[in-house]
Amino acid sequence: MPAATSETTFRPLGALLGWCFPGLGHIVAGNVRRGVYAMLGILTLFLGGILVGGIDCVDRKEDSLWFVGQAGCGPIAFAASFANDALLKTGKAAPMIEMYSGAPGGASVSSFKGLAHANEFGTLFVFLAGLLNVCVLLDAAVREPRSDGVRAGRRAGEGAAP
Amino acid sequence: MTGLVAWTPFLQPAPAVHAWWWMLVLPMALGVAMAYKAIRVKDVSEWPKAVLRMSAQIVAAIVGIAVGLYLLVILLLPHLPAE
Repeated sequence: MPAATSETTFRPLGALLGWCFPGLGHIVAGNVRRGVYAMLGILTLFLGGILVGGIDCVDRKEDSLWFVGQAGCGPIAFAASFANDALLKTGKAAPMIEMYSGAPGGASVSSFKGLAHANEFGTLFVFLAGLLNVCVLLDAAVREPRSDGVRAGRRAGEGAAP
Repeated sequence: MTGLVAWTPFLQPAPAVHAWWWMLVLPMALGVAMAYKAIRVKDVSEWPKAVLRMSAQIVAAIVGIAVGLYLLVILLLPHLPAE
C-alpha cells in the first residue's frame, strides 16, 4: 500500500464515529462495505470474547490495564464493564461465594466469575477487538470518503502530485 | 452436557473451556483477519479471499510455533547435559 502523502486529510469525526461503534466511521463516510466488514471482524472478537469468558472478562476496575486496550471498542466495552458491575458484582445474576481474604467480614465474588482459560481467552479476545478498532478508526479518519468502488483503496492524498 | 444446558451465554464463562481452549485460535485468527483486512485490502471485493488467506497464515504460524516449542522442550532439552 502506498504511503500517505503530506496532503492526507485527517477527519476527527470519522475517528470519533469509529470509536462510538466499530465501522461507523467508514459507513458514514460512504465506504459502507468496508465499514460493515470491519464491524463484523470487531464484533466477532468482542462478542466471541464475552461468549467464552462471560461478562466478567471486561472489568475496568479489577483488570484496568487490560481495559485500556478493551476501551478501544468504544461504548460497548464500557457497557459490558457496567453490566459486570451491575449484574455480577452485586449478586443479581448469580449467588455470591464467600472468599477468605484475611480481613474481618471476608470478601465475596460471583459464582459466575471467569477463571483460567475461559477468562484469559475472553479477556484477550476483547482486548484484540479494542486494539483492532483503534486501527479501524484511524483508517476511517484518513481514508477518502466514498473511495470504495470509485478509486478502490485510495486514501486521501494518495496518488497526488509530489 | 449438564454444564452446557445450565450455561447462561454472555453472562457466565463457557463450560469446559479447559478441554478445548486450543480450538479458540480459529475464531481468534478469523476475527483478527476480518478486521485487519477490512482496512488493508485495496478492493473490498477481495476481502473474503484475503480473510481466508490471512486466517490460514495465522493458524499455520501458531501451529508452527507450537511444533517448534514441542520439539525443543520434549525432545531436545531432555538430551542436554544436566550440568
